[in-house]
Amino acid sequence: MKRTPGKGVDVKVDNVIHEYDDIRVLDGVNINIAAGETLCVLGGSGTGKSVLVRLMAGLEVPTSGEIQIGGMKVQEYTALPPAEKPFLVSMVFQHSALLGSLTVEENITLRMREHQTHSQKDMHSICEQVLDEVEMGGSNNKLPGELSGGMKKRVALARALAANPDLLFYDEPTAELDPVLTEQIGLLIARIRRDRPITQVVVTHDMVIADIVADRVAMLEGGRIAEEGSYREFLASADPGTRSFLAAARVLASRDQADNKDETGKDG
Amino acid sequence: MTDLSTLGVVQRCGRNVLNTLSMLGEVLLLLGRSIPGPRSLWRERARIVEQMIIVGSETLPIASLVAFFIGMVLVVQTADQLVNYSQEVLGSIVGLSMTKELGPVLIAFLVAGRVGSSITAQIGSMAVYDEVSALRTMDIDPERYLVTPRITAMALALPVLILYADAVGILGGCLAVQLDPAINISLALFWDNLVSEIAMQDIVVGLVKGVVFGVTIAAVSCAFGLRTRGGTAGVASSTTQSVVWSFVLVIVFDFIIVRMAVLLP
Repeated sequence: MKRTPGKGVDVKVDNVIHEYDDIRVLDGVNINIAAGETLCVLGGSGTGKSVLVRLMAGLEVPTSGEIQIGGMKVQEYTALPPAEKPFLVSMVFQHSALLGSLTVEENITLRMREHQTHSQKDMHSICEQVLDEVEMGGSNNKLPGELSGGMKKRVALARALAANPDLLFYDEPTAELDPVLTEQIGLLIARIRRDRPITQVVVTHDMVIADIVADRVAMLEGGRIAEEGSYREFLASADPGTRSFLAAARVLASRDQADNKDETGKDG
Repeated sequence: MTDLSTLGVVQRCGRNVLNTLSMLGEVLLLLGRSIPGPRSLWRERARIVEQMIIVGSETLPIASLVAFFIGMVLVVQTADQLVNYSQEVLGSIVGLSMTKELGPVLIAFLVAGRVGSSITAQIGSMAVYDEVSALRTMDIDPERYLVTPRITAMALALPVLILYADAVGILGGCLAVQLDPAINISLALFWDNLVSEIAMQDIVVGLVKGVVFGVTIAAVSCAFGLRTRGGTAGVASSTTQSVVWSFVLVIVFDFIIVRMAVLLP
């Protein structure tokens, strides 16, 4: 079954403030993402990156401020019946969030099955297509419990792609993965960026991912976007918070690489 | 440190009352949103049957054992109390106790402990590990997908389980009458008395309790599952609370139904 890829929609985050129990997590976030762009939101743990992406996906409502996707308020978009949505949004979660009682194919086709939008044959064909896209062909009948962490991430990505989304959010797509798998997932996201003209927002603390996939990088610090620009501009930043994040990330990255070489050496 | 001053105690009590009211409100709202219409019932039929099988398979063996022994205990205990009177009424006492009260409440407690707790743990884990959020991003309403089949399955399965427990309990009673030397009435007399005293209305009241208890346990279990936060500790805490609240609400609704049944002609 030949499918037309999603077209990409813009995202506008306007002065978003978000609080949990009087603790301000986001303190006036402003950011614009163009249709078809891949933005990496970087920041340390607890800076509110995941909260920001959940707000963008309409899973939570901001305390104040407004988020628009494709020119619509995100709450208006989520309230629309599935058949009336002018574009589609998908998300890849930190823990993959595959339904444990369903097989890989059932997970991937769940959306289509529930909305009765495709025939059984088309669903199977789409499943095969997206599994091939994430290099997981042949795993249709496996249960999530039988998959490794990296495989689960790939299947989660396949499930997100099966909807043919226009806007794809990633919440820490490489969390709990080793550097080799991190790079593989990064290359997959980069391939999606190349092959599909969709908008992608990748929330991560991983510089490897940012390097591979980002058209633009935004640094979240103290509940605000401290700075944004290309990856190269980001590396050359003079901002003390960014410098300190980069310094820590480089140490971690070089340590991971050394560990990885040791492992490879042992295996060989 | 725990504040033991009068104000601290009042504040804690007030907070607990507010939490309880908020929880009851959540359960009611969830119930209101999840009661299926005919189309929804048809669409969810596969998941409803799947849930009914889970309820039955998890409860039936233990329900058989408990109901059987409760029936025997009832006979032995009641016979002992009637030692100076006639034991002819044993049949009606055992029959009415099982069908009107013990069968429904016993099964409700077993289902709350075995099935309700596993519903909360399962949905709680799904909430903690973003599976519920994943459903939302796929435009799948978690209440329709997760709650509706469970509420419907419980509402349908509990009355059947109650009928079964009533029968097994009465069977246990018959066995006790037959085997216990302290009981000096025949099995035929026990049975005649039992059959003549149980009215259809008694059985129907037991079945109505089954539907109400089933819906209550499912709604409470799902509501606590969906509101779970804070990792595995949160799942454990939600599960305990859901079982406790299911027990409490079953007893409250039991009283209400009994009171209303008494008013029936």
